Amino acid sequence: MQKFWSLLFLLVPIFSVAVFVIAPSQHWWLPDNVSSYGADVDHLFMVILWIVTIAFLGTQAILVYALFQFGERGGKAQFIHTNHKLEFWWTLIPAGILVFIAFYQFNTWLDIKAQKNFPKAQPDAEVLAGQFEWRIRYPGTDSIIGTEDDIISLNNLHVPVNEPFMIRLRSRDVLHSFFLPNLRVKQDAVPGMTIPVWFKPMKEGDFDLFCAELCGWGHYKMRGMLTVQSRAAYDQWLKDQEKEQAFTGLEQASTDGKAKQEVTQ
Amino acid sequence: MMKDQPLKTEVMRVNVRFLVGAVLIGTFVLNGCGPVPMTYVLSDATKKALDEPKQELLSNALDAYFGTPDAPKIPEPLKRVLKGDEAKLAEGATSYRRLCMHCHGLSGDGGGPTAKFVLPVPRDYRKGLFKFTSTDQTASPTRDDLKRTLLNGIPGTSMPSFALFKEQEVENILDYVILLSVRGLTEAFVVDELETGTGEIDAATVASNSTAVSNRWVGTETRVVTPKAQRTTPDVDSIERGRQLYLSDRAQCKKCHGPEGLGDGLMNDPNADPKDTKDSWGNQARPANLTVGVYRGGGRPIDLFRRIHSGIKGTPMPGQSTNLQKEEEIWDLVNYIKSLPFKESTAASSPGATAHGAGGQ
Amino acid sequence: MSTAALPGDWAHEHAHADHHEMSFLSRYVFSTDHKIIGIQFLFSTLIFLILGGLLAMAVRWQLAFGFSSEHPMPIVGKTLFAHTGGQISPEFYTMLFTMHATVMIFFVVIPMLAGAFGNFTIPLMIGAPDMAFPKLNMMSYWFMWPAFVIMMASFFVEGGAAAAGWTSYPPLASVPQAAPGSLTGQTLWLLSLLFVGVSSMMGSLNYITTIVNMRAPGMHFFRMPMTIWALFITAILQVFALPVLTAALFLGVIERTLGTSFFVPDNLVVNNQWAGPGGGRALLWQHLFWFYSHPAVYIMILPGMGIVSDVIATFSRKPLFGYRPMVYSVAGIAGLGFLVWAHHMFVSGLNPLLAMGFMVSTMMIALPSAVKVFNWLATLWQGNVHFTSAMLNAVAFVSMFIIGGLSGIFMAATPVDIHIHDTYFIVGHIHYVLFTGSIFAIFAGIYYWFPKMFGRTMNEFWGKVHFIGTFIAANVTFFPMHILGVGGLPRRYAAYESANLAQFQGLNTLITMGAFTLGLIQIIFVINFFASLFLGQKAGRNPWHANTLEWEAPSPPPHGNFEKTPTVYRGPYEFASPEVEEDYLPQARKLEGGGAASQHAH
Repeated sequence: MQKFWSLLFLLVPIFSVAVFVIAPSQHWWLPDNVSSYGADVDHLFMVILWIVTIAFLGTQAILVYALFQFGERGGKAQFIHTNHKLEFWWTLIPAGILVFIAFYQFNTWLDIKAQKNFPKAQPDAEVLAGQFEWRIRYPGTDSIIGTEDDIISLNNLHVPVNEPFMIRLRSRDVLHSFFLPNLRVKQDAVPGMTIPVWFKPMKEGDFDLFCAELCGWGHYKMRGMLTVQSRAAYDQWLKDQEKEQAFTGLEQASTDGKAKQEVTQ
Repeated sequence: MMKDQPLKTEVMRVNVRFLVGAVLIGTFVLNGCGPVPMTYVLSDATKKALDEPKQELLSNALDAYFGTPDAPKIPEPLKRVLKGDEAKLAEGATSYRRLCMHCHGLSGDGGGPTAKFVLPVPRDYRKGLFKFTSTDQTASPTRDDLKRTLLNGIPGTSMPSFALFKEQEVENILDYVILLSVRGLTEAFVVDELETGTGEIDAATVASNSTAVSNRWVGTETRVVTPKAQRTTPDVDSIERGRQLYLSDRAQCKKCHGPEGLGDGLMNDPNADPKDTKDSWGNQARPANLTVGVYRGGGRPIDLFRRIHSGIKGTPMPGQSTNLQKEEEIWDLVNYIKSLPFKESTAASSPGATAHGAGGQ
Repeated sequence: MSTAALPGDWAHEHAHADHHEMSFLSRYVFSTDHKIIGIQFLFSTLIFLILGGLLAMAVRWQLAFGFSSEHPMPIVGKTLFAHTGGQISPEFYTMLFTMHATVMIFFVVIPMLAGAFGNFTIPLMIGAPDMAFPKLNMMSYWFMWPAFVIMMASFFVEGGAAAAGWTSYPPLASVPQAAPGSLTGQTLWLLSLLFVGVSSMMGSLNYITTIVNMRAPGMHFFRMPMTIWALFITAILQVFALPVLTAALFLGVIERTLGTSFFVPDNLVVNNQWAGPGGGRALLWQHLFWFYSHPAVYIMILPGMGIVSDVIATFSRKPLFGYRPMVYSVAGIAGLGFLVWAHHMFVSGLNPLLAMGFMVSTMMIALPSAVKVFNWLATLWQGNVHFTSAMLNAVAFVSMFIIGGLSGIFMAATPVDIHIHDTYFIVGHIHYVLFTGSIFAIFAGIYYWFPKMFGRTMNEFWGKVHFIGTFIAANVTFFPMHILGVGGLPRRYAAYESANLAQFQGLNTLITMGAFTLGLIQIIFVINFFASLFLGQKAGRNPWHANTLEWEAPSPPPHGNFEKTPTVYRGPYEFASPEVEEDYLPQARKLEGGGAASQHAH
């Protein structure tokens, strides 16, 4: 019977590893990374994954084997209370590994979040989170956010490819969180704070923007889109938005009902 | 040491009896599972006017004509108004239930479960009145008007943007919303005819009223308000002229919107109780705070022009097209209003003010 | 530390003093006997476990089927949402997961471990007749009842129960118009938890005093079983952490009733209504809340670890490996637990340099946990392992805690946390440590001490059936959540609309199936538990042949616990001792020829 139990516990490492092995092929894995520092983040993820997998398999193997070998063994067990050498080493080695993992994260973390490392100081856009939308403002020709020539975009953040882009993140009501899965970007939008966030997309395309901090009933609805395009297309888009925003009803090519729609999927 | 219990059989027998009991209870509980019937509800006004048997007659007649939530139909008069076929309409109904119903209600009555927790309240389509349109004061919206609302959302409210959904899905939902609106207004007209003795609850009455309602949606493109005059350059003079107009007795903007545009006009008026000022749906009308820089119907110059020219249907916001016959005057007003969020305001920190710093939001 | 201060045979004195007739109410309802109080906690929390489980099943239904009239939510759909074809509304969903977590954390795991097991086992395992403050003990149970009633009432007020997450972050939780649950529901939530906090505080003070002052003669600190060490250290944790939660909750209450603005910044407009003059900081709440709630998660696991240590030693018939390192690890986890709270706040707007410090402390807290895992494995090694229901649940705790603990390392790494914070990875981690961790430990404890509590054993066959089903279903339910998190699926979402996440829907459906199976299988446990109360095989004093002091008392023990105060001669894990023929050597057994000076006593 103990064989049965140890086999039941063996299912754990088998199932766990199987899930992680199959996952990438089913596209149940990290979203495609298109950001400059995303590769670093993913690398750290993989390093930790390998280390914990080894620890996982080691401990699970010992567990399963112990149950198999010593289950219902009969007779008296080994009368031992401790082994100081063992305690010492299995304290020191994991401590060392953990300290290594911690320190190994520092550079990437500072690159992403420390303001002194930001590639630029001036924000390219302001993202104002609110129940339940992302209101994005570009500075317009006077390069100042908060003036009359600002360009407003709703839920659609356009950025030029291969250039660092900086946003100024704010909230107008409750907590939200600016989450770009494909760029490994996440930052809470805190009312009362203005938080700078930078990223550099390396590939053109449309990518998800999610809210990642519960903000009410519409939390799941608060979706946006990051559109990465060439610098030329980006500049053109800004010009188009400017035109649209100044539409007085008389210009050609009325964009009523069509301009803001971006077809996705 | 750990031997099997001698009472094992008895315990197992009891356990089995309990399991059977649990299964029976479970079956009973499961009766709470399964599909819940979906039927359109009649409006409160209808329910007040008619007794139960007549209500049922009316519901059946409307269902026969317009279909049910599961199987909506396109009646003949609406064929010119809707874009898709009945299959697309059914998909629109499903999308509507997934995305819109929790606010706008199953019947488009603005009474979904979330509705009482959002301000302003979600639109009740059944009067056929829509606030933010491009058409003149007495016209129904164009289809594009509704599409703009779906795609842009209504900034400053809980109505989100649906621009990230497939265009076909948006079109299907539009069709369904129009259907709900037409159904609602047809219902109201039929009840009117019944009360004035000019009609019975039958298929013919429903059909004739539905035709009348559907016709309102036809040809709305011709009623779109397009200015002939170019927008005046928003220089200091134009803005000052606009300000004078704003404060004047002709336009009467400050009566509701307040002298600084904070939306506090009614609050500071000793003769007016803000709660008494209601819109067509019976809700308290709240004049907009114009210093915030967020415009529910859109902030383009043409949008503001249309708001001032034709008013906001269903609300006390009047159209100024008779008072301000010169389009240049409306443009001056537009220029003034667009300058307000960027003006230094003396009363910016009062409770009525919702500006989030200079430059609005 | 010295041995217990009271002279010898107080159990005898106690028994004599209590010959007056006790009514049903004073014997079983308003009892001051720690055993009855413990069992009261046990029954109450089992009921809330069912409620919390039902809420979870509602959450999972929504995630499997989304907003659809084809699969309306059972029961809830028909009764509460008939006018939308049975489809729930988004704000209802936010209430579901908020209350699921709140009920499970504050009304199940904490009161079960600290209230039920703490109360029942402490005096018995240290050889005391009862707690130091029996009346205070009774109050600690009855203070839970206002909490229960208020929390249940919150479901029925305007706007419904709290819906801002169990973490209750302002401004969403503070500003009434921000969410329906933030009307009255949130205020009731805060009040209810204030009562829970007071109850826990009373209990903790009692436990600490009892353990320090009332140990039987010979029961040195380092002869106490791990269950007691864990409960002792947990009680100290509670005593230091609870006041901060109480302060935060209190600030939250006056925020909502007296118009203060500790947490709400200037001039917010929420849901088109002005939120007040402000001047507060949203992050203040997060610091205050997590300063308690992080130690709270250790409150929820440490007693379980103690129980698991005792169960594994007993059923390996072998001394617990590394008893002192185990004690120091528990202390280390508790101590470090106060230094890691902001790892919940890495992307909250916290200074990134501070975040780095918290990353280091969080990484380090994995160390004592790892040491404990190694010691459990070493206990099994070369043991004579008996697979009882209690043991299976305890071993499963170890296996599952390895997963839960290792997944924590991803979250501790700040750059990786940028991606997985507020995704289902976190939800997977939480449920591994809390369900397959704490709840398995609770099951182990129940199977183990049921004979002592009720004088009968639970049915072993159905215990094993329950275990296999729970073990498999729990893994099917919670493991794929890690994958969802890696894929970027945010938590607390009622539905996933983005086409880029469509390929995960199958996993969500699988998880729901696992969750429903998991829920249904618990019926077996419930039936086993209640049937065994009346029909279980009668148990003697020591059905498991264990060493600790509770097995010296009758099953169930009378008022006063021991006929005669036991004297302790050795440590709690003297299994397979060469000094005796049997494979166990109870702490209180006197051996001829100087048992008190046994070399292996710690």
